[in-house]
Amino acid sequence: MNGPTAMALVFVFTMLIGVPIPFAAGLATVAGIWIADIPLTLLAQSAYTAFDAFPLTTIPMFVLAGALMEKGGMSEHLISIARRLVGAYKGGIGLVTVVSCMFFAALSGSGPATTAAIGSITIPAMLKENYKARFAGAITAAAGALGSMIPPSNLLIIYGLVAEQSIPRLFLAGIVPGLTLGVLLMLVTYLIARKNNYGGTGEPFSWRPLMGAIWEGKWAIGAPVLILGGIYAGIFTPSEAAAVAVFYALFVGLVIYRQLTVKDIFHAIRFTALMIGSVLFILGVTKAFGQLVTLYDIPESVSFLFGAFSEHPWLVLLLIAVFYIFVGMWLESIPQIIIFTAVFLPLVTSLGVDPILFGIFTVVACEVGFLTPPIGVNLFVASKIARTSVEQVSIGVLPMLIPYFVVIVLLVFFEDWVLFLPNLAFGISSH
Amino acid sequence: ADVTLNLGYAAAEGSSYSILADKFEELTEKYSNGSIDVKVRCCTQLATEDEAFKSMQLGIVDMYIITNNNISPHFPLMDAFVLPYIFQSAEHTRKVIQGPVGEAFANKLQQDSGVHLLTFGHVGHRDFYNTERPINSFEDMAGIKVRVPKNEVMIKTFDAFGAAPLPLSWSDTPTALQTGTVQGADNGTSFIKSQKFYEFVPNLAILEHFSYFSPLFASSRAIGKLDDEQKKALFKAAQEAGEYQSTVMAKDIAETRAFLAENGMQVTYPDKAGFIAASLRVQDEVAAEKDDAFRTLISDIRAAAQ
Amino acid sequence: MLRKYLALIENHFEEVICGLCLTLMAGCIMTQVLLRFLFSSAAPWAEELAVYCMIYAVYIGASMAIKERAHIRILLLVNRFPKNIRLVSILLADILWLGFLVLMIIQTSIYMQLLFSTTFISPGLGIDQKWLQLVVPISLVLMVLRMAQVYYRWWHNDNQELPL
Ligand code: NA
Ligand code: NA
Repeated sequence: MNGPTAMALVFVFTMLIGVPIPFAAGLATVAGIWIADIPLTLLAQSAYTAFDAFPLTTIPMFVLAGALMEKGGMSEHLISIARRLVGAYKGGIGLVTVVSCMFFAALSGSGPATTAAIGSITIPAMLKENYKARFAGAITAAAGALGSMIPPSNLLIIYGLVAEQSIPRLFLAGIVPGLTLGVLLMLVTYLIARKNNYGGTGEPFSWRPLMGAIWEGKWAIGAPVLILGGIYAGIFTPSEAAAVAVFYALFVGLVIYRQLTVKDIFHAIRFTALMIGSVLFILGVTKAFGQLVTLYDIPESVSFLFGAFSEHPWLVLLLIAVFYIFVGMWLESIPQIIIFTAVFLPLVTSLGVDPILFGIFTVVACEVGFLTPPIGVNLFVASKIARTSVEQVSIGVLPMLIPYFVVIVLLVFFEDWVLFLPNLAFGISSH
Repeated sequence: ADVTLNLGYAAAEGSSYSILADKFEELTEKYSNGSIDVKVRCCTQLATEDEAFKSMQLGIVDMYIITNNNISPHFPLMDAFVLPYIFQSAEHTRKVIQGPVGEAFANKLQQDSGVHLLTFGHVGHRDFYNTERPINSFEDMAGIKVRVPKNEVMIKTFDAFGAAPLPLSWSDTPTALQTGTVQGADNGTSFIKSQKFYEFVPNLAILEHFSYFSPLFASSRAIGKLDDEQKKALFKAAQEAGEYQSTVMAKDIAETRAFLAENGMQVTYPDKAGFIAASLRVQDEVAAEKDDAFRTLISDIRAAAQ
Repeated sequence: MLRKYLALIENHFEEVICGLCLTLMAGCIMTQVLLRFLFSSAAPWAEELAVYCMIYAVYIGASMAIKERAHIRILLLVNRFPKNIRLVSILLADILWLGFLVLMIIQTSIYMQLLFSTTFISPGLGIDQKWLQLVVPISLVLMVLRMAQVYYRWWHNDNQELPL
């Protein structure tokens, strides 16, 4: 039997009988290594080296910052602003969730962290208004993925490293597609909520309460200014921004809002530890998984296959998107970006696709992976908060994927709307 | 083919590493009459530079090209080649790595670590670029915030040059340069071009203070899969591929520097005397902290210059 | 009294280690930012220490997740089985999981032998990597112990629930 088939069978079988997902992936990797005839010590080595990269520290730091912002009152203020903006419509809290995630995405680089920080407040609120648990979880998971689209973004950092592209340029390019995604997600949320008659009890929109809420929440809105400002002013690097966010959240929670207790801090740390222990842990096994994908020549064969359509770059891009979404079901976003960027970037740049645009495209396509079972980190996080099963949230999230597909299609056919901002700031790049 | 060997490197396709890797693939397959199939994997697909050496010790990775300063954590003697201005001329370099010193070094590396060093590859030099001012003399270096890799010798060197070295991971460097977190850094000239630093860094000084090479390694497990004929073919292919890479890169360097000058960098050729004097002090200082094997290696390298 | 302390340690061991690691991690990164911004000087150890703290937090956190039954399982199929088969399925899954942990312990031990017999100095802190990487086998053993504990409690409570 060939390696990839054996790995898929082992993974599906062990997962279905109830082996936790990281360990099911580990057992599949054992099968793959065994067939590829390389020493099993690969597992031992990658268990450690998978985490041996400084930019990865942004994940636990952003999760911790999110938990502190939630307990210290910052998330509440963000949500209060969002509530005054869109709270009066059908699906009000759903819309609030999306808008809050967009705000939060501007200070967090991680999709799962955004899901956790906003969801832990808005999911209970949605459940109180009789939203179905799976819908509440799905909105948060889908909007939380904006965390890796709207800058700062872990995934764009990883892409920038592999593709050797400027990270500030990628960040600027991510803004408009991120906002577009957010607006489309709001649209879908509104339509579903109207159909199911969810919510819509918030006060009607008027300027004065909104201004009041913005003033009240100035320290919360100040966070993105501080974080992005600090990055662009050269005070700290994107990888360091997450730790700065932790201290900012501590400062605001302890000194400004005075809401944060020692017990809260302890809970935030505990939450972070559990989150990275059950979610980030999976990188330790999927790292070796990634190496096997390379050894089995999967990237080359796929690239060769797609190269056959080189007369139609749009078709190649669409095929890559479909492929990324399929692979994203099984592979975590970070290894996915590392392995396949190296393969596809030379192919698409030879077809005239801009590497910055391809970065945004890659991240949007891989973000769908956050939202597709079996390995979808945002689904895991959202289902935990909504106290429902991963399966339920996976069903609920299906309509929320439509905005992602729309943005992918927009990226395939138009490029100026993405490249406009970075070109304005840094001048047209000489590729 | 009877044996398949996976050869990885961390840099992008089209870099100087791919010149070595692709030539090695071609020659190995030719000299072994197709009985060895080399598969080249770029861009850390197989492993990163940090993990590749241990991977070869474990036998997980067959072959890898690792920049020499990333060998030091696994084989500290390598630090001798990281020292500033350790090579005094191209002639000196050639005498060291192709002569008895290089051979003894490769043997010791294999004895201590079990990893085979097949060729040193092209020996290039780092040049210094910065956003502050053109470097025309030793004094111009004063106070510039320089990104350095997390390497003790490199930090010491820039300290001795009067600059302010800041260790920063490579991943953060392009952003840090654009935002002013750091003001300068050093790399091989071709790398400065491929990273498009000329877009926003105005000054390039041809300092050639550090040497780097791209040694090609193979694991014992991989070598053990080959019969004597195949081993001979492999070693021969590696030697010739290394020489080929050196020739190509030496020709490239003048073109690359001209390209950088045309694309907005002011290229200066500062007087190296002050830098060399500071570097000799660094060399002695480092040697004093190390063991006898290290000091012997340094005096052997210096002796080859005579 | 001693019993009480042991119980306290047993209950909070992972939490405390993870908490210390996360705090130290945030502190290191902030130190690096401040040193560079205020004094233009560097702390080459800070970034490295932050990474090590993260690795410790991840592995010890994974053990904590076993204790708290927080690892993510897909129970779509399992929940459709009749009760006895459901139990057998989960038992088989946990035996496979345990098998994987044991295999990992063996493999990491082999890897540790290599680390103990060769050099691998961390570039920033200058300490030998073997001491740092020991966290992987140690936390794997801890995971096995936590699994045993989960089953021990399940057996003694003898309740009808699955040992999830
Ligand atoms: Na973000
Ligand atoms: Na997925």
